[in-house]
Amino acid sequence: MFLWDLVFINPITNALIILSNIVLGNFGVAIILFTILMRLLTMPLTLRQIRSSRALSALQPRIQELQKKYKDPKRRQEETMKFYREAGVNPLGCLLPMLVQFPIWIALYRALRITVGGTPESIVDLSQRLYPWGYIEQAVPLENSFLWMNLGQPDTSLILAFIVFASTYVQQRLATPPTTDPRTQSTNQMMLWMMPLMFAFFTLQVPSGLGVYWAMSNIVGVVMYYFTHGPERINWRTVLLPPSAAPAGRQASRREEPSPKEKAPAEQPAEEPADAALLSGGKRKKRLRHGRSRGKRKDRR
Amino acid sequence: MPFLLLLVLATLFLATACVGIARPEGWAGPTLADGQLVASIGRGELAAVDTQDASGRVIWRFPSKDQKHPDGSKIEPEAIYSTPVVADGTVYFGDYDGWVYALDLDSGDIRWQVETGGPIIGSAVVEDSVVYVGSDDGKLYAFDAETGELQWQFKSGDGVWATPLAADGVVYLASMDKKVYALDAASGEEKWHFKANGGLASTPVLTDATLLVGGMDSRIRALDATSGEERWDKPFKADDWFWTRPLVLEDTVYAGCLDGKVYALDVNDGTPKWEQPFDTGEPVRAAPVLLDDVLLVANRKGKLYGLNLEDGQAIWGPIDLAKTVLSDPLAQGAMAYISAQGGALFTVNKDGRAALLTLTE
Repeated sequence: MFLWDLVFINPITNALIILSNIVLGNFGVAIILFTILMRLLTMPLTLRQIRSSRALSALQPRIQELQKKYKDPKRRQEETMKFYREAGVNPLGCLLPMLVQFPIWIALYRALRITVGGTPESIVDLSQRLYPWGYIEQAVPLENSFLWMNLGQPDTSLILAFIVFASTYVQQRLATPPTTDPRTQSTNQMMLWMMPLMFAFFTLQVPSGLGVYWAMSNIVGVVMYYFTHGPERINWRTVLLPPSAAPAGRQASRREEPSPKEKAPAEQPAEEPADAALLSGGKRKKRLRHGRSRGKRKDRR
Repeated sequence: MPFLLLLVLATLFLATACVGIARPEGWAGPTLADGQLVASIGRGELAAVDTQDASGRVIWRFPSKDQKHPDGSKIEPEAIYSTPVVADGTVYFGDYDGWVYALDLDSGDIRWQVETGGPIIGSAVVEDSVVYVGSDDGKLYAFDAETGELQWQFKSGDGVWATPLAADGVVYLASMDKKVYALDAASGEEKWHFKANGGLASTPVLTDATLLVGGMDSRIRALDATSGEERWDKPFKADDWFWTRPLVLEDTVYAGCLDGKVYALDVNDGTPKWEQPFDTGEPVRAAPVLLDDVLLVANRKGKLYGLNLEDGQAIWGPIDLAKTVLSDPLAQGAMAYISAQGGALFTVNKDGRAALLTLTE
């Protein structure tokens, strides 16, 4: 526990207080700045996640073939893993950024309880965690109100929970890779609703400062997606509609799946969008034509 | 994989839910009047205990089932940090919900109750039939002790967590806005203020026209009580905040610190008197008190020490109460009452013998 405090909770607590000092004591703005910094720091992992998602989606048809071909589960597993290795894809690669975020969430949760928890006991605890720098000492006491919220208490107005729900949904919708497997499709569909619901529920239980972090983290994630993929490749109307309203998109993504050999993820990591359903119509048609012509060239060879 | 993620998420938040939101527990110390010990005996609960009765008979509890606020709502204090004070047969204290109560010492009946704009953390003081109490809404309130009628209020720049000090027609107020104020006791008008480098939550102490105040800038300062000017060449600096009420004995000030140490300083110039401060190893929030000629010190972990006043060496200790102790002990000659968090009451004597006080209805 001591190491955990030393490595995560104390640095985050002090970082939040320094940021709060920089923005003239506004702790809510400090959390937003902290979120942006965290997203920038974990950006390489996020990009890796995007690449892994794309690579996994590109390999789906071949995986399905393997699953049909090998009935023995052990053999099927071996062949699948062998195929992943040959294609240079780690199936757990897209989990890493999420796993990295967990300790940050827990530490931030604890740091918020200590900094803006607001009880006298938590302030005594805070004194034990501050670095002995005059700059930090002078920041105490901390302002725990931000907009309509007390950052140390759950926001019972439901506004923050809704923002967390909506932003998680959009982020999830953008990040979910397309798949041809009906089972995975239904799982993705469930996750698309479950994750936002869970985070919205958690927002009602934890200090609202953590909800601000989640909402901001999602918003930054969406902005990053916007800039890494380009505005013309995102159809916001489709993003905001439930996936069942865009079956053509899934069909399209199915059609443009290249074979793993033709499109190894390590070679072409940034070409495909995460979800073809999110492409705008004109762009999608162009890409489909391009996909078919590539297929013809391959046939000719 | 998605199921794995969901599982990890659910486990994670079940774990955090167990920790929950930070809840105030309260650290009100005990007080003694007419053979009755008035103390917090649980979260948001106060009781008067008959100290003449060996069985620890509880005379009354507050709040009782039928005690209500003026609007008819039930009284349910969230926590009590304010050590009760007794004057003229009335118990005065504030609760974390922002209410100030005046209770009859004998029966526990409410004489009056007034709501402030924020949690009350410091204790009330009674001087010349006026009750002074600070609130986290940043105000110091002066109420008529008999009726609870508001006489005046003074607004500081941040919450008031410290107990005010009233003496010689002046009320001294330490505020979390980093300032010490001297106010006219009759009108509430400001006479002077001094600005420190950190929030001030510790109760000031007055000795020979010198005001001693510790703060969250890890310093103890000596101020001229009439002008607010600093008296020492430089304030005494420790390794963490001062949140205890210092104890002044002759020309020495004894102060516990959240760095776990107890310091003895010369009142005249702030220089250390002991070769080394006494290190308890855990934050000291409870004020040091004197048991005859032994300095009693309690740290947050509930470890008690009896120190030699001259050199700061431990005469006895540690005695482990195995409870969190953040409240100020109450010294009565060679014995002290200590209120631990959760409501346990202990007695400890100058020889270091501690006992749990059992209560009966």
